[in-house]
Order: sequence, then structure tokens, then C-alpha cells
Amino acid sequence: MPTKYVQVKGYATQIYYRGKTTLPDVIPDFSRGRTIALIHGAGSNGHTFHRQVEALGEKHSPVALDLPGHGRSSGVEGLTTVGDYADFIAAWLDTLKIKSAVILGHSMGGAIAMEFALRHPARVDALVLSSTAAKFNVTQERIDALRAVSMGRTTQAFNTDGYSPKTIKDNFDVVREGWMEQIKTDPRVRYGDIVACSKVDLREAIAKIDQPALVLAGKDDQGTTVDDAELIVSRIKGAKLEVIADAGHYSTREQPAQFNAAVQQFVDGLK
Amino acid sequence: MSLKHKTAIVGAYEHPARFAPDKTAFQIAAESLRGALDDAGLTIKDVDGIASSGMAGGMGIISLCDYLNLQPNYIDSTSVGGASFLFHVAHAAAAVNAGLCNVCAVVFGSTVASRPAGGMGAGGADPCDQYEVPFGVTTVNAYAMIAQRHMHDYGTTPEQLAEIAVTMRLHASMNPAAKYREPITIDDVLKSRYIATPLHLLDCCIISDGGGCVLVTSEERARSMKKKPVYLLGAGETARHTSAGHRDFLELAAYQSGKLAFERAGVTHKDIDMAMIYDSFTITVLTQLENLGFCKRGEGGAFVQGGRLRFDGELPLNTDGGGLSSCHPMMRGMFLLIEATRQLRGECGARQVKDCKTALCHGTGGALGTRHSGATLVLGTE
Repeated sequence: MPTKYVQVKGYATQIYYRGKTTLPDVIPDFSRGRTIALIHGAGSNGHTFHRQVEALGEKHSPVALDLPGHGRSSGVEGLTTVGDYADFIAAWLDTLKIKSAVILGHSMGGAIAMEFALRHPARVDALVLSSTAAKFNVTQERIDALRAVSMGRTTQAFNTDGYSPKTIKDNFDVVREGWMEQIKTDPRVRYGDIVACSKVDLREAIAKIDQPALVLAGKDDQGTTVDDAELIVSRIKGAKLEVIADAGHYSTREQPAQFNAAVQQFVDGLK
Repeated sequence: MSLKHKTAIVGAYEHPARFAPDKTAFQIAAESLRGALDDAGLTIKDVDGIASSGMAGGMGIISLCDYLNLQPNYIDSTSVGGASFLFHVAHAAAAVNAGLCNVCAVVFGSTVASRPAGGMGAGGADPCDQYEVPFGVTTVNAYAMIAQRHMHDYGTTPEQLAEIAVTMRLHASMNPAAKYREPITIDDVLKSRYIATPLHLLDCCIISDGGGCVLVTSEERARSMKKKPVYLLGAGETARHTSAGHRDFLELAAYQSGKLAFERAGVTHKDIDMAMIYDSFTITVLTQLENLGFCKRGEGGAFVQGGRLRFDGELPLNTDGGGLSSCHPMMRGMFLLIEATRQLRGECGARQVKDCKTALCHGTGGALGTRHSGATLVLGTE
């Protein structure tokens, strides 16, 4: 999976794609099939989509990014609202000379994708919303805990939160992988993301979205639940729900075959 | 022969990056050099001396000359840890004064935060380390040992050390380029986890990317530059080590280098309007203040309390937020020089020290508790 830096709004932004590498300042080729822009979740980074970029890249042109302050992109702080991230995505697509794309967002990235569709509807071919919600259930306890980590008051203990019991039992490597991915981002940025998520309420607004939408939910996800997914489906006209068994919040790596097949089928079927 | 008032810093630039995974250390250094040249109103053609350290290994300065396409008449890569750049300015002053070069660029760039190269322990290249590392000596616990000693001998408290970190963060909150800007309290410091007792996380410097450059030239040339010159009034340098086992751990290089610098500058402590003192850890500041003679040995704890080190206090210290909150790409010396220059020029906005005419910079390199270098510079507008 080639990576590259592009300059977006003054941030050196790391991108992940599939295909030929190019010289500095030369945008890679995104003309194969549909362009699919992948937006990661809170405190995460674009590399977490490596299984999707590989699989979807067979027929299409997926491209993921590290949002400002995340992973290997520059900026010591993240942006402060999901709306700001949505506008950043617009600037990112400008830089990549992508007029419109299928926007796939995971968790906070899903909220960014919905906000993006509301702010920049002409740039959305379709939406894929994974493990996300129109209003996140973020407890004050979780915010306080991350703040304590960001202030150095406490260490962040390894845990298996968010994973399906089956993943923990049979596929512990992806839990470890997820842990290693999230520690690539400064705790302050992760804290900022959680605060940004806590302010999201798109329940009314998303009724205005009229692009095709696929909503994916892990059956065992306790954070962004199947109920949350059903609410989105009920609000966006024509949206389709796909519940993935034996997956928690991270179906992209817990059940990649099912996840990728569902997205592939949806994207292939777009008119 | 005195160097007092013979040379000046005429350009200074602090690179704004704190996390730059897309840049190389040389790139940051080159951008910093360009910034300093713009600041002075000079061009790269005017630069005929170069000094640097900490980039690309022992002979890295040759590669840096290659990268910048410079064929300088004077090269200094004195490598004595984070204080190196203070040594470079003192040496550059002597070189300019002796006619070895006209304009010397002291330059640095680092990507240590975005591309950490390896362990953070005491460097493996130092032949002395082989006798200490097996017993667990690392940089942070060598400093912690000094703090422990100071507390044992003089009753210095964790609250006193914490006030230093709190003051640095207050200053960082007024510096838009600082990495950590959210104010903290003494309680925050004491509640942050221990890294090496008695040092908490917030007693320790941050790790950032960064870089900077200062330009040194003659007093005569300095008068025709874009901004008002910051003259070098006096400098001193030395090292402290295990002294064949007869070591007084609380006597630092600062004790000797400070005396030399004050004598050579012909100033006293009362003349110092602000100080930039290497803050790798809170204890580093406290012990250096004692050794530089701002207070008596053992009295540092009380000295740093009561807001004395605030930008509006009696001895404004590290007004940019220091290595504890603003910028510390493993080697901090460069930023001592840049902020002192900005303060003496009156460019610091909200955190500007009133009537700032004379500043002291002191840097420590290596590790207190094992082997370290120290250099003191006195800078002034007159």
C-alpha cells in the first residue's frame, strides 16, 4: 500500500492508496472504477483501513488519510469539531483533484462523512457509514478518563473494549493491532476527538441527505449499536442496513471479508 | 583580550514546527537558516561560517554543507549535548573577532518526535557509559538522582519543583508556537505519574520536532542590519564529570561557566533582566540557578517560589515556555538564544519582559549526575 504526503490547508497529510507510486507533488491515479475516500475514527489513522484499500483497490480507487494531528500527519493538535473535519475533507479532495467520491467513514469518520454530505452534497457519490451514530453515546466518565491520560495523570491501560467476544477469543492479534494503531496518535488529539464526538447531533439534519447510503454495524458493538445504525437508516431515504455478525466496533478488521464484500457489492451496484 | 561587545546576534529564527513527519532534520535546518537570513536582511552568499551539532552523526556537518551548498571558511561542530549551540555562538564570536569568518550561521533541525531513532537512555557511544548502564543509569534517572540529593540535603520539596513547571506552562500559554499551552497547577504536576522518583511526568521536558538558527557577525557589521543588534557581552564554558570518584554532584558546570561569563561581561546578577536556562527537567533549572549564583546553594527551592520566575516577576525565566512546555527536540540550547534575542529586541508581545536590556543564557548538555557540559552567555542591547 503506497503512502504519500500531500499539503492540505497547511497540514502535511499522509495518504494511503493502491496503485503506482508517483513523484513528489504528482497526484496518484484515482481513475480506476469509483474513487472511495476513507475517513478514520477518533484517535485513529488511515492505516487502519489497509485491508479495505487492498481489497477495494482491485476494481476501484480507494484513498485513505491521516486527519490533522493523527498518525503521521502534521499538526500537534486535531481539529475541534466534526464540521471542521468535514471541511478539511473537502480541501483534501481538492488537493487530490477528486470532484466527487464514495465517502466511507468509520465511527467519528462516519459523522464526518454525514456532515460532509450535508455541507458538500455535490461531492458525494454515495455514503458508506460504518460503526457510527447520528448522536454518539459518549459518557463524561470516558471524556474525563482520556483527559487524565492527556494530562499525564494516568497511564492508559491496555484493554479489549469495543471488540466482539469472538474476536477476543479467536483473533486476539487484531486487538493488539488496533492498540498499536491508536497509540500512534497523541492522547491530546484523541481527547479532542472524543469531545468533538460528544457534540455531534445529526439526527434531524441527515434527513436532508439524498445520496445512496450503506450503513454497517457490528452486531456486538456496545458503543455505536445496531440501534444507532437503524436510526440512521430510518432517517436517510433508501439507506440500506448491513449487520455484521461476530464484530464489535471494529468490523473493518474483525470481519474484513464480510465488510469488504458488503462495500464492494454496494459500490459495484451504484449507477 | 576581551570579546565584550565585539560581536552580535543579528538574525534569529525559530522554526514553527513541533511535529513534522514530512520533513527531514536538514530541511528544518535549511528553512531555519532562511528565516534567520530574512530576519537579518542577509542572503546565503553572506554566510561564510557554519556551526551545528546533533544532525546526521559526528561528521554530519559536512553533509549539511552539501545540503546547503556552502563552502564555508569556518566550521564548528562542537558536540557537547543540548548546550552545543551556546558553545557555537561563543566560538563564532571568537572566530569573527579573529577574522576567520564574517557571518557565522549557528543552525539546527530535528525530527526526534516524529521519527524517534531509538532508546532514550544514556548514549551508548560514550565510553564511560559501559560502566554505568548495567546499573540502570538513564538520562531521566541521572537527573532524578540530583533531585533526590537536593531534597535530601536541603529539604527541597516536590511543590517547589512543580512551581517551575507551572510557570513554564503559563509562559507557553502566551506563546502561540508552544506545543503545550493549556495552563496547569502545582496539583496537576504532583498528580502526574512518576517517571523516576521524585520527578513526575510534568517535571520532565516534552519531546518535539523543531529547529532554529542564529547568525553571528561583527559589531561593526551588525549596525547596518535590519534589526537592532544583540551583543555578546561575555561567555564561559566547561564540563563536569565524575572527577575520578571525588564528585560533588550538586556542583555543576554552571558554577564555573557562569562566573567566567559574568566576569567577562562585567555585569552582576542585578543587571540581568531575564534568563533563559535549560529546563530539561525542573531540577535542572533549580540547580543551575544556584550554581549561576542567583541564590545560595540549597536555597533554590525557596527562590523559585512566589512567582519570581514569571515573565512579570523578579527574574523572568524561559518566557517562551521552555523545554517543559514549548519546544525540546532533544537539544534545547538553540531556543535559549532565540528567545533571549526576541526579548532583547522587544518582540515578545504578551510575554514581553519590561525594559529588557541584558539577558543570560545558560545551557547544559549531557546529563547532570553523570557527565555534562555547560555554557553561559550574557547578551545585551548596549
